[in-house]
Amino acid sequence: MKLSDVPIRRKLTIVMMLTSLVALVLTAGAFTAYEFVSFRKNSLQSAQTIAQITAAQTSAAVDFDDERTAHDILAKLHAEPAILQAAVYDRSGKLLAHHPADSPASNFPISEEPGSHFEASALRIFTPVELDNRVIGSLYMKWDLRPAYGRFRLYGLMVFCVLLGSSAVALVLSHWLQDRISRPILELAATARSISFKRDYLVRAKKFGNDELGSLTDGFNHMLTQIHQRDAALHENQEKLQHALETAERAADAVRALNGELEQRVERRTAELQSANRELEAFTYSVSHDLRSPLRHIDAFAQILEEEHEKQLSAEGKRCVSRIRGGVQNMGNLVDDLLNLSRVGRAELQKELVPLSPVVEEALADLRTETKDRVIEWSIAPLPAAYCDRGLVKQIFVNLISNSVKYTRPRLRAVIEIGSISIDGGNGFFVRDNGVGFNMKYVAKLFGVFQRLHRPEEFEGTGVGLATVQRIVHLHGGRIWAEAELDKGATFYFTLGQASLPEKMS
Amino acid sequence: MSEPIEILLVEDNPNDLELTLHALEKHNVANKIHVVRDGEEALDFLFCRGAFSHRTFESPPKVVLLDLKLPKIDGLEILRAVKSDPRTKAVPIVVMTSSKQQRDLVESYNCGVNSYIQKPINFTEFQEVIRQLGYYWLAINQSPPPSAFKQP
Repeated sequence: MKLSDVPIRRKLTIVMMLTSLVALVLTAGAFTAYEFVSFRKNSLQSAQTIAQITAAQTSAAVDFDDERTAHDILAKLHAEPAILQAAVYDRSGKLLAHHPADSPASNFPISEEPGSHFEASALRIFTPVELDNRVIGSLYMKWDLRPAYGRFRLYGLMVFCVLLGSSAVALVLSHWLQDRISRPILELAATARSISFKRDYLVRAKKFGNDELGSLTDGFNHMLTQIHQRDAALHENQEKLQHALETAERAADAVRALNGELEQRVERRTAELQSANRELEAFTYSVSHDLRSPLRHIDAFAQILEEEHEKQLSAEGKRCVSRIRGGVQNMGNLVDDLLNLSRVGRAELQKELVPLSPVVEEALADLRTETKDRVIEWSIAPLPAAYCDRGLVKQIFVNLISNSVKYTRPRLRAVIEIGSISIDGGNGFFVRDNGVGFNMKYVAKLFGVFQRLHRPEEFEGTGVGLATVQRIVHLHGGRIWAEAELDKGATFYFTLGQASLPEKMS
Repeated sequence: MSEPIEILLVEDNPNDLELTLHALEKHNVANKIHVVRDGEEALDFLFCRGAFSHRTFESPPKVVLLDLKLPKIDGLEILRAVKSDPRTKAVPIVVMTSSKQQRDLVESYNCGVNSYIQKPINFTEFQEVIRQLGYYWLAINQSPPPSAFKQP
């Protein structure tokens, strides 16, 4: 088990115990070591003192080689039971006397250089025996250290007991102290756990004091209050959202239902429209064929009458035939124009980038029969390109220019101007003439089908041309309007929607 | 019927018929014309059956003037039938119609029509067209040889 996984209670205890134990063990160890060292030092010192005194006492005996005296002196050492052995040697190292006297001489070591050293349970000392600062022999002494070591062991035991006692006290203290720290934390943890299980944000953690843990608890409780508020708000929002979702779902269902219905309706309408379109096409076809045929017949027979039966006809008869043929001509034009208008209405735009100047030239070429016997001063500016249906836009120019040619007929010097202007940030085009013009109060009628502002005797026409032009312009998303003054002239402006936007191209 | 038929005129409308014949008479080809009044009759003539079973595929008219709008079987169907049969596909067919329908024009050429003429409204122009037509198909144009009309 890792330390980080140990419960905080035990962790605190472990930490406190470890610190106090380390301190105690270090202290006790230091004391014991110090005691041990000073004990050895003291033992050595006292042993050496006694050895030196004994050596001094035996110096005379050694000098005179008096074994008895030496023996007597050594025998007095009996009073000190710690002295296990003692021996005196002369200068040559011969054993002079020894203690205890009954111990065989072989038990004693040979004389050594002065010094001392500790054995397992004893201290051996060699001291020089001196007389008048001359070394005349040596003294050997062996001290029993066991009683001393026994005392030292007792000391160690006492230290250990103190260690144990202190540890016990530290344990109790740490237990008591850790409780002070861990209880608020544990309480906090328990509260948090219970909240996370029960989701009851009204529970509050108990506060145990005003320390950091107290502020932590306060913070925690404050957080709970906020969470509670947020939770309530969230809940409310959730309900609202749920409600909104349900509403939206219902709306979506309704929309889906409506869509389905709409789709069906669109399908139905499309089918109707397609059938209407087919009918219209059939109608157009029959108008083109069936209506034109009788006209052709009337005209043809009138012509035969005129050419091959001229002699049988009176002057009035001839006039009548001529009127018949005029009427047929008019109706033929009318049928053509109407068919054209309906074709334009049904046309699918084939848009491309079209340079308009060549289109105007083509339109003028188409109108050559109308212009060949006239004096017309043309003023044609270079036109930009436009994104449009070439054929239909040519028809715009044909119709507008043909109108200008027609309504300038009374002028000795007709002036017709074609150009472009900037309108609505795009290109607009205009056709201007100095013809008979019209009164602006009738401008609204200008683009209506069959609407005419002149009597047929003045200017022939079907009243379909401008309606066709307007339809083409609207198909392109553009607009058309006119400015005119009676007897001064007229100007027709048009745009081609997005088609006539940027790009100047002459 | 000693003289071979040079023009088969397929026309249902009596006015158109009279005007066409009037124009053709002016140019002296009226006696070499055979007139049929509906699609069925036209097919019988061209495929030598029914009332025309005495006719042979080897002596077809030099040109067929075909109206598109016809009772029973319309002009495009006749065109399709004639141009898809090896015995008749070499017969020159000129569609003459008052229709301005783009699709008729396209469909006629797709079926292999030899010429497509829209009848002018103006009778003078119409007469001129008929004159040129007669001149071209009867005098200028080299007709296909009999071997072009293979028996199946």
